[in-house]
Amino acid sequence: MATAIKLENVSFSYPMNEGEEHKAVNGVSLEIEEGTFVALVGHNGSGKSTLAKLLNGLLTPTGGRVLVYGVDTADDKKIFDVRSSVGMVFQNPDNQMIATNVEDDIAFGPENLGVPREEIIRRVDWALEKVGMSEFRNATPFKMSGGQKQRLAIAGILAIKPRVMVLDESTAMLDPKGRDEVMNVVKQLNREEKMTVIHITHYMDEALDADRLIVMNDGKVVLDGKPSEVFAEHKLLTKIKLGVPCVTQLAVTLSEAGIAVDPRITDEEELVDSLCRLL
Amino acid sequence: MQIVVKDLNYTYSARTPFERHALKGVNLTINEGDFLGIIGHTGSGKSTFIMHLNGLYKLQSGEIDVFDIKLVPDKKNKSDLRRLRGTVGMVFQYPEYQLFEDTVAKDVAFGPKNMGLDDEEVAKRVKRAIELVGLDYEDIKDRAPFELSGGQKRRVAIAGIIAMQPKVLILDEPTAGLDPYGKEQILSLITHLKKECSPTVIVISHDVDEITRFASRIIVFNDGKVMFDLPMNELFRHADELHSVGLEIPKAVRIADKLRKRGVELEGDIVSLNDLLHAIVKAYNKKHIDKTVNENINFSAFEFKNEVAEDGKDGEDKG
Amino acid sequence: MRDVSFGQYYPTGSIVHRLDPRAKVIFSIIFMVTIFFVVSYAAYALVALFLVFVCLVSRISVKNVLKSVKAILFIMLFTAIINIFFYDSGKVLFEWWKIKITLGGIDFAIKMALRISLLVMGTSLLSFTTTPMELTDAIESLLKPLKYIGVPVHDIALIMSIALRFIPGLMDETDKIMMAQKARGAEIDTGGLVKKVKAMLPVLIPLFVSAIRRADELADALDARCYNATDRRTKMKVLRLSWKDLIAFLIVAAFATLIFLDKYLAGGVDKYIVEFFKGLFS
Repeated sequence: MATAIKLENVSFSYPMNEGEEHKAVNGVSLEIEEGTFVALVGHNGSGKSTLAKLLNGLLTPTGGRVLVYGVDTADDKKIFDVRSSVGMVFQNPDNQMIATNVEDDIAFGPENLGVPREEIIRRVDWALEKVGMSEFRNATPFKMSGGQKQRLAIAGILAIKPRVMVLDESTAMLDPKGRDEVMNVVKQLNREEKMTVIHITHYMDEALDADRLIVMNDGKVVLDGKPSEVFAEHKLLTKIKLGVPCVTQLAVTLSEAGIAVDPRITDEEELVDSLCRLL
Repeated sequence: MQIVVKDLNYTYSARTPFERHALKGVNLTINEGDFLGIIGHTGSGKSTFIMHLNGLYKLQSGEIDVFDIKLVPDKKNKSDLRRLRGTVGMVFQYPEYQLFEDTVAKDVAFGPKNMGLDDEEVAKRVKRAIELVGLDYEDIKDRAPFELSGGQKRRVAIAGIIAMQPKVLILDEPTAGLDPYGKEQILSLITHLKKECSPTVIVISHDVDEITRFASRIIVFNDGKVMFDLPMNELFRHADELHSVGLEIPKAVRIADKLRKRGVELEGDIVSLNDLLHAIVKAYNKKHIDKTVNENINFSAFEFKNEVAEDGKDGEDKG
Repeated sequence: MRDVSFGQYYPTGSIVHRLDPRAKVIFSIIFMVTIFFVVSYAAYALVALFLVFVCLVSRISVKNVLKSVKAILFIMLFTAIINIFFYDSGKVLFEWWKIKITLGGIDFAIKMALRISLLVMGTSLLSFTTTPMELTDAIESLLKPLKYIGVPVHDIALIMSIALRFIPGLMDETDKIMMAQKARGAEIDTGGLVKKVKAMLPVLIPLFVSAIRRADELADALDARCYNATDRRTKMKVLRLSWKDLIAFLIVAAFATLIFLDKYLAGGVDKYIVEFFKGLFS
């Protein structure tokens, strides 16, 4: 499989008071394969949001290189290539809409890229259908729920036809229903459109279905692997203030009390099965 | 002492094409000492309801009596309103967005000062409130709110309400946007505040798992009305009805149901994950008398000394 | 809370609502200009009839349109009184010290008041039937020629539409912060001016901080969607004039022609009407 994004020893520092620097990302090297669903987890302040902004050139590294399909994000001349390959959905659904009308808003990206009119209309149709909001084409986003607004934000990004979609804590401000809506849309995009997804979150439960789970702490990648492998390191995850998904936490607590349950269980049914055998 | 709400109605943008009935005849009694959870999806009327409890929305129709402060429509009484605001403390969603002073101590003092207390009393309350929310008073009092971490800011904002020493504390989505650790901290802080400061606590949340951690009574809002008003252990027997209005049931309830359906005997009412753990361990010990395990276990991954752990120095993620 | 991005918009889905916003802007300009050529009461009656006609077609109640005059009632009365007292022409009806009330003065005051209120009603009809967003589009399109003398028409339009898009959010936010501070006992709407300004600080500072945060996030969102102000931009929606706009134009033009005929051909038709009635009774 092709590599979508490659990070080579990437660092990023924010300037602080009195000439000091805050190193938000510190020597990260990663390769993200096309078509994978990656969950990137870390507590507030771990550097995960900074890393996200490095992926589409909103920030350029102060050390190392970020390559998007081989294009260096620091190359000013190719910045629109980078941004149209890596779409990004942000945290606050209210601060991403540009227009007061749904279809105008979705058309904004392709309009910027100079896409012909008929093609824009096709893309708006397609994007709305992909996020399941075709009937809202002429609505105003103002009165919509958080989940709906965030799905529209996704549609707005889809319309620029990116190959990678980065969700920068896009579920953090939503209620459980909205979170489910957004996650279902994103999973479907990954499955049906083979979209590479990088989902940044601090909800461990959202990382369960990912192909790959990357854990950040203090600007560095501390764990990287399949979710079940990563959750096996529950001691470390607790130490870096993240914890494990609810089901795993149950299993871990029971196993620590001396009950023979596998502490690596992530699936609810599996936990119920093994408890039935014991009780 | 009680809060009694009678036949409360509220309409937004009345007599325009944008008219919306947010509350349709709400009747409720909240008792002193209640640990109340309010759930309901966005637009169910739950936020509009609590705004009425400290007079932030003008009463359109109905009656509200908060600890003998009576509110009726079309009556303006400033001293009543002031007393009400001192009685009911309201922590809004993302309360850190309301911080405005240049030091933490000054910001926390804003509420008590508005109550007309003298400087000495204000200073005393500020110190106590900051300590109650688990922050180091000497260390933090002169710092600018804007340089604190997200979790610290939120606690400073809560301290600003606590300093008014309200008898009733209302929190609207107190853990929104926090990471798991920050969430745990705020949850244990709420229990701590109920014990130490405000005996009646009302929490609005859309996370049922979170609410099962502490509430003893739950009110479900749907379409501007009270759909359920039940003790926690009874509410989740109505799983189907809750589901039909888009609300989930707690994970512990779901897992316990699955286990029971497969013949596992679990004792008692199970609502929270702690309940579930204890029931499982009890059932285990009953079956394995030869090798019993310690029943004194706790669900949370994080442990806090003195209810609230200190935050360390986790800088903000954003530049 | 009302959504400002809809202004006074009153969605009824009528044919007037569906006219090209550019046409509506031009019609409004024609209407405003025409008003200044009205000289006779008969012509004023025609204007009023025309407005009632537009109300009927756009399914907006005349009461709502009249309401918009209420806002300027005070200014109207004030100018009317000044005109009555100080406009000196025609038969004197009342005289005391330096004040003289003349028939011409009353006539002038009434006509002035009619003119102002009809103007306001006309423009309010535009805002009742057109969203600010459509107005922005219309203005961008009508100002397009200015692009060739270096005016960044598109940037201006984007700024206008973003402002429209964000004002409701900021107003919501103001509301929320205001309530949060009220909950902390702040008394925002009492006291004198200095006290009021001081009392607003707990609202203004958080609002300012929030506006900056929003602007920051919005800038990222614009960048992420490849915003640029170059010429390669395309547009999905092209405003198109249709037969509806043509018919509307013909109606507006007929209306304006009648008003002009009244002034330049008849010199105000009122005197003929008066004579007609005089003849009837003699």
